Amino acid sequence: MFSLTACLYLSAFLFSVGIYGVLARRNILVILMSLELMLNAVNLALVAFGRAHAVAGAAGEHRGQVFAIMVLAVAAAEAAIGLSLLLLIWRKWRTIDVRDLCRMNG
Amino acid sequence: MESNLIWIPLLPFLGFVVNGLFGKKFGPKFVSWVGALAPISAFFVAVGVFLHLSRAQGDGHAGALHQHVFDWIKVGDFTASFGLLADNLTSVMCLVILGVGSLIHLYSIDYMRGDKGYYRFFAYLNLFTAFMLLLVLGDNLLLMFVGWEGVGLCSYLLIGFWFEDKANARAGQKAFIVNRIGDFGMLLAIFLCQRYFGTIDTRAVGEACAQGLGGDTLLWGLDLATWISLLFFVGATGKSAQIPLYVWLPDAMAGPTPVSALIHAATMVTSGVYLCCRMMPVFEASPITLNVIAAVGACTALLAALIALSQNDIKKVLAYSTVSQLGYMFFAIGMGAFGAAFFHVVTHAFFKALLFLGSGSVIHAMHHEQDMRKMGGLKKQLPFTYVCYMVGTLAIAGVPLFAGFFSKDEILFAGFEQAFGEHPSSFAAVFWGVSVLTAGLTAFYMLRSVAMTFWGESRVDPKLLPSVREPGRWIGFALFFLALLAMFGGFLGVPEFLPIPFVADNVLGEFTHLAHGHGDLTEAQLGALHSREWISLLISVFVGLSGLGIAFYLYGPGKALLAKLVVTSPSGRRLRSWSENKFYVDEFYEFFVKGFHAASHLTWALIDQLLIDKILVEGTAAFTKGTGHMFRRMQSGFIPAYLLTFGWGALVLIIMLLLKDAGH
Amino acid sequence: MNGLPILTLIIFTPAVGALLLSFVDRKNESVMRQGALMISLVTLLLSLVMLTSFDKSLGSYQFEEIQAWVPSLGISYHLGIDGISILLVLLTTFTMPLVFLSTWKCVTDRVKEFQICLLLLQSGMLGAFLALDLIFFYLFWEAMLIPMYFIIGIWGGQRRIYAAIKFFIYTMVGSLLMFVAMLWIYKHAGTFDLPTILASLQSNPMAREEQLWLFAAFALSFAIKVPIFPLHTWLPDAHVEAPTAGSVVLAGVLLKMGTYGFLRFGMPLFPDATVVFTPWICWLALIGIVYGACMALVQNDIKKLVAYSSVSHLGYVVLGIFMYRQANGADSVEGIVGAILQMVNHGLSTGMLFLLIGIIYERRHTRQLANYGGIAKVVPIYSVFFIIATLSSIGLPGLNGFVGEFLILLGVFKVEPLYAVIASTGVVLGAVYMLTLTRRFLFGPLVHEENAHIADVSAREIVYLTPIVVMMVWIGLGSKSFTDLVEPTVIQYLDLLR
Repeated sequence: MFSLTACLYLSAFLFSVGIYGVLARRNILVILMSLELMLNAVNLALVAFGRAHAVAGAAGEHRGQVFAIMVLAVAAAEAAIGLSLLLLIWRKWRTIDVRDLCRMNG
Repeated sequence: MESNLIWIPLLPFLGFVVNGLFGKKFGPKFVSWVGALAPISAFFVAVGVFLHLSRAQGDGHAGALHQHVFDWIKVGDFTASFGLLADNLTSVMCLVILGVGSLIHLYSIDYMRGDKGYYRFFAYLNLFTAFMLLLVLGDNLLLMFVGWEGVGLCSYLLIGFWFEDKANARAGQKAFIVNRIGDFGMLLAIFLCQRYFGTIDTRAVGEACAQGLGGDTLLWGLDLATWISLLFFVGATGKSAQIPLYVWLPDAMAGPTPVSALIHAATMVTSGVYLCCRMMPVFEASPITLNVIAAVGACTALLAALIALSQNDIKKVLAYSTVSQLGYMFFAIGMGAFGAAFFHVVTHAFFKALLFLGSGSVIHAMHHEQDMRKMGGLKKQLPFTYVCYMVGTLAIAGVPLFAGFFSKDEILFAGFEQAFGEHPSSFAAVFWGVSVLTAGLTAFYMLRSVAMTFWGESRVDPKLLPSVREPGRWIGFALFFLALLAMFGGFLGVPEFLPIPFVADNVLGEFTHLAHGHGDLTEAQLGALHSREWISLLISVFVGLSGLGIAFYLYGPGKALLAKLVVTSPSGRRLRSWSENKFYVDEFYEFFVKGFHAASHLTWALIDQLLIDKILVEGTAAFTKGTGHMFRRMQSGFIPAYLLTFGWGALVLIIMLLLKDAGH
Repeated sequence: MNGLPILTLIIFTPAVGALLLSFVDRKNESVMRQGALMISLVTLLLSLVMLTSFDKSLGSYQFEEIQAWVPSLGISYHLGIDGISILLVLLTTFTMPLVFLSTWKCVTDRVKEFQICLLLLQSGMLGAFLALDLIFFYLFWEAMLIPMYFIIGIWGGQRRIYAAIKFFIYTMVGSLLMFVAMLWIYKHAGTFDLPTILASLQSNPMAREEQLWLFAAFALSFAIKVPIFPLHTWLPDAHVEAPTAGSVVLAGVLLKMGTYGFLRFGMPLFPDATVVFTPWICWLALIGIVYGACMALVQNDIKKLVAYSSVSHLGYVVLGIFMYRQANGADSVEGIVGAILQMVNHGLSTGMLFLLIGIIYERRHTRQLANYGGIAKVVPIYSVFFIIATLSSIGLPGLNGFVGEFLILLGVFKVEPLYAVIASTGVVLGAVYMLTLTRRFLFGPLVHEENAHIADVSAREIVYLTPIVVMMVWIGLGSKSFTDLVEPTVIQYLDLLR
């Protein structure tokens, strides 16, 4: 019951939702969540490709899956840093609205 | 004996170290002892060396002592060892330096008494002596150069000894820099020797030139020997104050008087002449250089004598007189009479040191007044000084049997021989004439200074007069010995044709191997030679005496000194004003120095500050900054905007990739 | 050396020391000062130990350490020392303790950071002198820049930010191009290891066109560092604004990095290009000699004057380095040996001058010549030291400066007499500006009341000035023991340039 196309459609949908969230929302927390969504959309695509193109027994059979786990790890690290920054920003300025956080303009 | 050579410069150097480090702590008594004993003990070592060499000379195997102390510089095929070489010439020079030097050290004990920088003075004086001896003893040109610059340094320090006066500090600096210009030539000469002879050993270079190795044409049609010797002479013009680099010496009188006597009369300034004697084969290999030297020497002698005519500062008179006498020595070298030149170095050291010390005695007694217009009649207060100064004057004027008579006569005869001898030359005749004229002028201005200082009415400040008396015993001691030397020093070089009993002929010339003997002349030739020698002698005595006579007539007893205008015709008056203003040479040089400064300043402002820094460097920065300003708008600080840009960028990249793939 | 990695120890002792100091409480300033001094003394000791077993008859690298680092890129940790670098390493380890000692009184702000910066700087300099791998050299080269930037930018004078940025950007522009050139070499030779590259270039030389560009990239970087006219304008600003210690290190050691770079990398890597560029660089050096001297003549700020004198003096060094071969193909060893010696001499004399200027600045807080004059009476011992430094700088025979200058000029004269004649005018001009400085600074009447009570040098100051004087005299009279260390290497090195 595996369909690569279906998976890719789902992935693309999730990715688009993520992009929308990142671009349109003002709350950093939501932006971070949307970012995670994008990453996971990619993960989905990777796993799907890995499943579809893998040759049993050949080298790199699970390459897609491994890559997805790698991305998960990076995402976790990123989330940790992002959230802690967020916390500090909140403590300092009492806001997490990106419209208020544009002091680093040129 | 060989291993003792190093002590000659080392002892004064140790004196410098001890006095420099501990002199302040241990007080003037200690300083005097150390300061004076250093050159005196070195003098005895030098006497030992001299005796050794003269014994060897007597035994018929004239040689040289050589001591290799250590390897100094050794890179590639260049070697300069720290080695000392004492041959006959050197040993005589050492004796003069240390003999006169010791006397001057003793003199300074009284002269500098009570000065705040007493220890400093003796330290410098010792250091000077050490460097001077190194110059003389160095076995290679580079080591000589160490001494050469080292004496320049001490001269700098001692001229500016009383540095709180701006003029003194300036004079010291001028001396050093003018000497540096000369050293520039010296350095190039060393390079030439190394490049073309592969050695800088003085004897080896001399031998190479003597063998005619310097005959290749190098540049502008001049051969190697000419270039080397000319460049040496450039060095000599600096150190020995010849045209065009003589200007520092009169200013150098800013130093204490013993310094003027030791450095700027007896020793350092003659090192140029010494260099010529040392490198005699190089100079003899180049007739062009000899002519240049003769011309420069004679012109310097005349110019300086003319300036000395109208100076009123007693030391300035002596300073110009020194320049003039040095010109004489170079004239002799130009005439090929190295022996005569060196002889004059020796006698000049005696009588000029005497004159300077005598003037120092006057200055000391007069509480540092140097203007002769404020002296006069000092014969009464300073009889001993007067006698000594008079002896010096007679010696320099060439009065028969005094030291200067013999040496000056030898020089003038050398010129006479070239001008009217077997191969007459009009070139030599002109410069011979110049130097004869100078001899007359010398006698004149020296007696003028005697008259203004010691004769006539006293013009001394009456408040000062009671305290004017003969200074201390060391001053008297030094004056006495120098007066003896100035009286009898000439017997070192009695010419062959003068029958003076108990004195051997031409001792110095033979001992130093600088004089060429007359062994190969026939009886008739010798007779003609002697008659020419008599003519020359009579001329020089006549000129000297008439110079004295005119001065006596003009300034002698009973004449109102300052009211008299020596010259009344307009052109004469112009000459007098030129002489008083030293022919405006200093002003002429000053013009260039100022121009150089201004040009440097302009370059700094225009090129360094404006062109490079403002336009190029900061211009680049400003360009970068401007570009940045254009793009800063994009940096809104609004994160979604960045992300949108990022997204678009990614999209463009993807499309490009797809198109590229489609292309294949 | 019984397998002891002595060079690594020399390089990293200061860095490790800096690390240790970073744990010390910042309030404990005296521990910080003494600690830094001790560390630098240990480094000096290590370098002397190295010297004792340095075989001066060999011309090759000694105490070599080689360790693959990124083998896939041909980057290795390769250290070695030879006659070209040994004097410079010793100069560095000799200078640093004196520098530390000189900062005790004048740096009172952020003492901890200052000492750490200086220690890191020392590691960077030593590493750059000892690295035989292009990438490692580059790392150290850049690593020196950062502490120096902070030293000027934090502890400097009024316009310190301007000067620091100017210094940084000037140097950076050059080194980036050098980095690109290094990558190009890697592409050609397949490794960053200098001896390997040199060996492979013997059999497989680079195209001439290629060499020209690469040499230009290297040369720009080194020329800025030297600095060669007209790339020198960062130097006066950096010197004037830097604190004393910064100026001393900058003049004493950092400037030599440029000339060293030419010797170690620029010339042997691109021998053909070197020949092409030699006349250009030499003329620039000659201009620099005369130009720097003229500029020094008209400065009123003492530090600026000395900075311009550096431009003039380094011109000699560059000239000596490039005038290595006569027209008939014979080598001129004197020039290069003299240049290497002169690097040390300049470090000593200019370093000492900056130390002395620092001493007087500490007391009077001005560097304008017009504010001085006649102070020789007030501070006699100081004046003696100042005059000695001056004399060393103008190359008085018997002191160090003369030997270097003379050897350079002699070597140059063998190759190109005209250059030597022009360069010799610098000797005269050098006397003019340095003596003018001395006269206006020390001599004459005491015009300013404030100067009447300046304290003379303290015991601590005498302690760090005296070793320099001793070295000056030692090199001046016993230059043979120094040139002997250098000469065999230079002879071998010149074969490499054929």
